[in-house]
Amino acid sequence: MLKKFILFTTLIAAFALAACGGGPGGPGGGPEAGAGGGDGELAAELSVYNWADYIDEELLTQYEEEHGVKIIYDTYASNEDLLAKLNAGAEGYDVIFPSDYMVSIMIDQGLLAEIDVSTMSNIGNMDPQFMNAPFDPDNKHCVPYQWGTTGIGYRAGNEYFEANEPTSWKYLFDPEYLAEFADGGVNVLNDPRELSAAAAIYLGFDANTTDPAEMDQMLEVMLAAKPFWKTFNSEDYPSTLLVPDEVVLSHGWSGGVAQAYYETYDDEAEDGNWYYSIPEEGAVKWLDNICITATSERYDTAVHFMNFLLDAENGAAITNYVYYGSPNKAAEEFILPEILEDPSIYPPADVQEKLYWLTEASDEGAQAYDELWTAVKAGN
Amino acid sequence: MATVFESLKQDETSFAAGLDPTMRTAAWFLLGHGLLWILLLVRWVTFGSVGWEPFEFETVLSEFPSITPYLLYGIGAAVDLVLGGAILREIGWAKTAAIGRNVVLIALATAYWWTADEFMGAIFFAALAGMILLLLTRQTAWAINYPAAFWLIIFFVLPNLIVFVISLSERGPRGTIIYPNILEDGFLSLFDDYARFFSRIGGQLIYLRIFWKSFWLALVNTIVCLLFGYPFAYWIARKPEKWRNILIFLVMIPFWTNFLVRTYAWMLLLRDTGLINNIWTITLHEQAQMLAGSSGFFAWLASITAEPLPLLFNQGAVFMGLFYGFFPFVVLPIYSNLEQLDWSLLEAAADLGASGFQTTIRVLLPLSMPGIVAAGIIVFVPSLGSYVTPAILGGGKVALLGNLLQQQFMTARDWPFGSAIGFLMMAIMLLAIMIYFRVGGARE
Repeated sequence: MLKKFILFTTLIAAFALAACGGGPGGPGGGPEAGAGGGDGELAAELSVYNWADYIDEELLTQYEEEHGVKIIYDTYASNEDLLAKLNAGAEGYDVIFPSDYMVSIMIDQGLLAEIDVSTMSNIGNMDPQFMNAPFDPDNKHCVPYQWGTTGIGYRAGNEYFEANEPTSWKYLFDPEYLAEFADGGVNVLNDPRELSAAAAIYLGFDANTTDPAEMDQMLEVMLAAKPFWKTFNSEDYPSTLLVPDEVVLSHGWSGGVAQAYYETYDDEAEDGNWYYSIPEEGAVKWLDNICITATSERYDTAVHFMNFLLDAENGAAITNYVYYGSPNKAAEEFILPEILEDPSIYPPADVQEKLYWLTEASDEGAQAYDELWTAVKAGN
Repeated sequence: MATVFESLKQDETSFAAGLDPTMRTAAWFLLGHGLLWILLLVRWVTFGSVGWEPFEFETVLSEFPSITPYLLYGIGAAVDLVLGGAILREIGWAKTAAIGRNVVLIALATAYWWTADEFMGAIFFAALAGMILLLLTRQTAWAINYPAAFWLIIFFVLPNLIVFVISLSERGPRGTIIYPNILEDGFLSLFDDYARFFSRIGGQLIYLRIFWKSFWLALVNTIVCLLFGYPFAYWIARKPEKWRNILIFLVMIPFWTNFLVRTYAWMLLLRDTGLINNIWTITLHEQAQMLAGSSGFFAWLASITAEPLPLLFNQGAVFMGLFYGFFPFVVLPIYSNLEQLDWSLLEAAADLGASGFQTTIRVLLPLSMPGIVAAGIIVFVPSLGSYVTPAILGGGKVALLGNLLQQQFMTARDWPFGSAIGFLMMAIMLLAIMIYFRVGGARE
């Protein structure tokens, strides 16, 4: 019996050696077997990980058809989700879209691949004011994708707001003002840095302040206003709070409020229910970016896809779909006129001067912001 | 599996022949493993024609020279089939060699995990080798409990150990983790993050306040659930048998829908423009307005129905959501306890002159205590850490422990502090349950 076993296994081994080859040959065609369709050097697939509802998916289909690259599309809800997933060792994502402060964190943690923008034929389309941003000098890792501001969204047709347009942070923080309309509901963004920055700008401080005395004052202001706030929501406030009229005023991102505007758009009245204003004290501006993960095995295809998104017509298609400003100067000729003329999406120069970037706080600063936030949440 | 049992059965008769059931099982495991190697080899050879979805370790193997998988699978199959056969034939060296084989395989799996950082493949082969090793060394008790013990160690003990080590670490630059160094930092500084839980922010013990808030909410929720759930379970338990099963079935029906979906459904019902408030501010309000002239009551009704009821995004909504979510978890354990109760004991108490109240307090409640304790723990522990309900129905306004934890792991990216909070919660809950059982035990 033993002999039979030995004979059998030897046979198997011989057969296997004769067979030569086999095996899965790398995932999805693998890096070496990456001969895709159309363009010779492109990979067969590309994995794109984006914010939810943040691209016109027609563009993905268009790219697939033009270049024969199958796009695996997946979405996330916050910068922190994205970071947590990459930190947990998720591989296989090629193109990601982190915001400004997250880009600097990811660069520090070595999560982003370096790029050379001079190799991209469409880079000249970009508006110079969005290039070479403080979080990514010389665009060594990312190119700009979409930008916007954080301001105040309010219900059109509300009696109080018809007489008093909420063009100041007072309407979010001053109890005297809040008492007039807070019965109807007020939402603030469930985002420590955004809400703190709004309080800081309201008080005349730097949006990125870490001064303990100033932060104490910010906490006081927020705690005094908190009883008037109905919800803390930054995930789905346009659809669950703004559109169904759960609130009359909301701290919000420009595109979120615009989304509520277009969802409630009435063809007869030629107007939507939600207006957006950038407070006169100033506001936070932010920029989302297109980056490539350091672990990407399809680097060349990713760069090619990046360049595709920077194309003037494609950049315009994105803005026409998501209602955020495009950093793509050349795209403006293809962007819908009502978006270009909308001062809340494309603010005039004097307003632009009062828009500030959020920068990643130092480690002590980060803990101070976390404690400030915990104190706000635990209060009253 | 069937072959294993068959071999065990056969062994009762062939025991006298010398080969004991443990060894025989080990041999069959080895033969099965040999077969597994051959199957893997067949998979490998047919990858081109069948297009299998590759396992992670197969992808890793494909990066080695193309001869490697054939050598690995071939040698594996040969060794396992030979060793399995040899043990069945009671050849002297077989057992020692087989033990060596398993030690080598575990080492290989560990090395594979270490270098390729792939857990599932490594743990699969290591687990099989561990099982055979236990059988070969005649650790029968361990071998029988091996699947359960293995599960507990991999999915409970190890993760908890990891969380504990992280809780002793420090938040590094930009949310990285700096692992502890006892020699440099000293023993006490390891527990910095635990101390932080008891620290003050702006002169107030914020974290303790959040803890107390969560604790009271969980406690009140437990008591309310018990107050409503106990009579309900009692009512079901006293029904005729066929009704009982139907009623319990009805209690379980909500579980068919995801909890998150049900919570969102509550949001649709309770919000200002939701179903209840539509009836309140539209239907009821209009009727009351029409009748307002006729009586003072309707005038008053018209005035209060002008504004929607504040049903959502407050503490009350959170309470309601928790009560709704945990109510079935109270009914089920109490019911299963009451169902087995000897009801004649209650009749005996009544016969001996006890009033209905006395019977309930001194007979029924003590007898159903195990069900009540189980239900209480099942409700209290998860409601202390509840996250979804306060986040959705509370509008993110109410900070509870679950939300604080989420905040540490996501927004603050302070994993050490988050882990420390998690461990503190675990310790406090364990303590509470231990005290509960001690007190309960002393009473008996």
